[in-house]
Amino acid sequence: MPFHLLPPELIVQILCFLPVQDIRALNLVSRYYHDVVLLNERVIYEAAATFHGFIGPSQDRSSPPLISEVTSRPDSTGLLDGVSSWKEICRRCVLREHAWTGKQRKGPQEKRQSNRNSFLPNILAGVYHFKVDEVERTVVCLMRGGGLLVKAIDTGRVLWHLPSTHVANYAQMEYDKGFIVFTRPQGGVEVWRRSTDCFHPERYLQCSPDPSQVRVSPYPVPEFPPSFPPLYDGRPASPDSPLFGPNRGVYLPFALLVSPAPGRWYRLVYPHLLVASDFNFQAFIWHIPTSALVETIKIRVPPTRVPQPLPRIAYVDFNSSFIFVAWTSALALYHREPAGRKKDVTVLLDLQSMVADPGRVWVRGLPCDTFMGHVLSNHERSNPSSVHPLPGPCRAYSVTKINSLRHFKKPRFDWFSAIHVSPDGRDLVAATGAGWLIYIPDFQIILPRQRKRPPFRICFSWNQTRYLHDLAFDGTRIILAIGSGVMSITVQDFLHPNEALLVPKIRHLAVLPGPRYDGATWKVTCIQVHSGSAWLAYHLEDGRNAGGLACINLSAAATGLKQDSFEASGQQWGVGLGANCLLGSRDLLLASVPVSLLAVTLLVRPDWTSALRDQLYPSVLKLESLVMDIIRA
Amino acid sequence: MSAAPQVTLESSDGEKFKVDKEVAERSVLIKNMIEDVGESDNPIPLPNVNASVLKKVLEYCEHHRGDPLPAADADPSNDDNRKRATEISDWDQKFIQVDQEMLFEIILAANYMDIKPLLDVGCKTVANMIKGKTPEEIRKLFNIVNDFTPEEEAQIKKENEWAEDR
Repeated sequence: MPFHLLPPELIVQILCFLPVQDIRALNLVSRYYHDVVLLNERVIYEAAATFHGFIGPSQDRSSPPLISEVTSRPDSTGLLDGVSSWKEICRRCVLREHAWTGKQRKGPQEKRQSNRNSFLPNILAGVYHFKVDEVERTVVCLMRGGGLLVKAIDTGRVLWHLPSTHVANYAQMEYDKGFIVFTRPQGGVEVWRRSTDCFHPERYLQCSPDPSQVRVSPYPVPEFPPSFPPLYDGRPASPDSPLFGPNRGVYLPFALLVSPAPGRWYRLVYPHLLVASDFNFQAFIWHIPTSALVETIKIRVPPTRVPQPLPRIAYVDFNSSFIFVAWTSALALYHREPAGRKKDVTVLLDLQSMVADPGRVWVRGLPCDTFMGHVLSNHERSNPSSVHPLPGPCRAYSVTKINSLRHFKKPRFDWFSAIHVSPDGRDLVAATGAGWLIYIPDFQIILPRQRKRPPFRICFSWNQTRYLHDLAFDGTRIILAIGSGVMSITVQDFLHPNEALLVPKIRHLAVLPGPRYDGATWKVTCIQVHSGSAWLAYHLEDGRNAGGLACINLSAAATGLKQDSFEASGQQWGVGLGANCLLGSRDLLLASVPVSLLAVTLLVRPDWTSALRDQLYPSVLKLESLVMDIIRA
Repeated sequence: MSAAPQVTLESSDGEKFKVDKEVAERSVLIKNMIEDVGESDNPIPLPNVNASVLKKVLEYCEHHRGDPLPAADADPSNDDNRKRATEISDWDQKFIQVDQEMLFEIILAANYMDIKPLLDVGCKTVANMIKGKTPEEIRKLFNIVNDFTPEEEAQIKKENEWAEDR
């Protein structure tokens, strides 16, 4: 009996076990199969989207997600905006995946599109730390020199801000699910909430803002609890509803949390906020919806091979059962449940033992695969002034697996620069200052020693000239900022379910600006990864207020996005001019306008100085457009 | 000690198979028939399945007689489930190592008799045969003639270009 005598519904069932590449192949076999695929497109591509993992779990677990549910998932790059078929969902997701892994096809059209990989090249200079809100498509920026801005990604407008008198220079900021959390100089952390959520009937939470928050809020804080229908329209933000309504990007005060001891490191994974203190070696976990301190955990400095002279916390993260603390050179694990606290600290990684013997097997006595990574050489750092996304299809920098570390120059000292746990809390990634990336899949299984997937590490700096600045990890991809640029590593490349460890591929996403004429180099201060984009804030290493916020948009090839309007307003402020000033009267923050431009502004229209002083909140916006006018003129 | 209740199945070519009721009830079709008609000694006719295929299908049912019935709502988005989706257990793999003709007959029979796990094993086996092959290789595998005009072929190729690379 030949294959084509199977009834079409059985052919469809067979296709449901196949990826899009094989669906394409069957499409091309003969007219009959082409028609079968065509007539059953919806079923086949819905199954393919599930097969590839393009659609996450449905909210209602008993039924598969609807198209509308999938396309309305927050995505700041607008990957699935206006999509109405499963086939198109698959197409866009496949193309984005290709962009991530550097497999874009060469072709005249793609070549042109690859230049669009980046939108908003340098939207804002002087950003020290930032977070992206994928729901309202905004960036929450903490400014060097103080102040907090919320900027719209598509238009570049400043939607909301807190002045530098309220948010201090080098404050720490965390963001998750519509909550901004930042430290204040007099102690404690402030919590602010997205205004569209504050008055949403289903998402309403009792809040108790501090009077100082209410005073400084640029928007009037209504009486709590609010009356319904709410004063602010509580419609959820989505691209087809007037998402970008008047309250987009506006935040309202929610609470002030003061921990019993001053914190040094913070991490927000809604609904919990972790505050870690190395002053009295305690960690506090706050429950944001109730503003209550729910756990206090002692974090003892772990015993290490070489005692740490000054144990300081370098980074923290947590999941539902553990707190991870990267001390200067040891990564320790603390149980959150009281039952597990008998053994109060477990050392996962001891960097000093690795420094002493780089070839040693060292992830808790388990063999660890070692790779040597390539870095860009100097001449590849071509673009002098801005983050320069590598044109696609991008070179996949392969790394070599090594068995001997004889030629490895020992670092004298190594320290953690970042650690991250995957959102499902299963995998752990750490980056070290001396240039190691360490990935530990299923780290919990490490404890009873029955793991299947080996940990691996990649050395990015065998000659000790580069180090890893920062790291972002979303469970699928590791984004790494290295002295020369940004790289992505797709972890599935390492861990193929049916095969032994493959040699991983590293995709260079972008190069940082080259060293300046005066020899100053750039440093990445913050890096973020989302399903369709990678973001970084960078600045001159000597602390001058020059730098930018860049986004590498990996959905561009899939959506055929035009360059966003951001590019127009994204003049490379500050970059190259060196000296920027944070301008403003007490309550006005103007994000780093180059001094020279401002001088021009004031020269031309002296009467604006008083206008500047008088106008408080909306003036940031106006000033920006005003400066832009000057530039055009 | 009473023997397990048995039923008789009759294939399209008239051969009769006496099997335990529990084994036959792996097939939802037979289970429903027994429920509708009630227990009787009359053989249950299966006019779409010949003896050699029925023998093979019953071999499968016999081996899996004790298995829990498949959960209807296994979450497909779960990572492990997705991985499992294309995996076939060792015994099933050996069981399904038959020629193409028999494979398709088994799939048809499993579909007709409504034995979901067997149908899945069959479909996955065919899927694995197709996986990674070019259109030309698939044609060769199943003896299919290419009836596209070159223009049509080029058009479809262009439309699906995005899915080309893996």
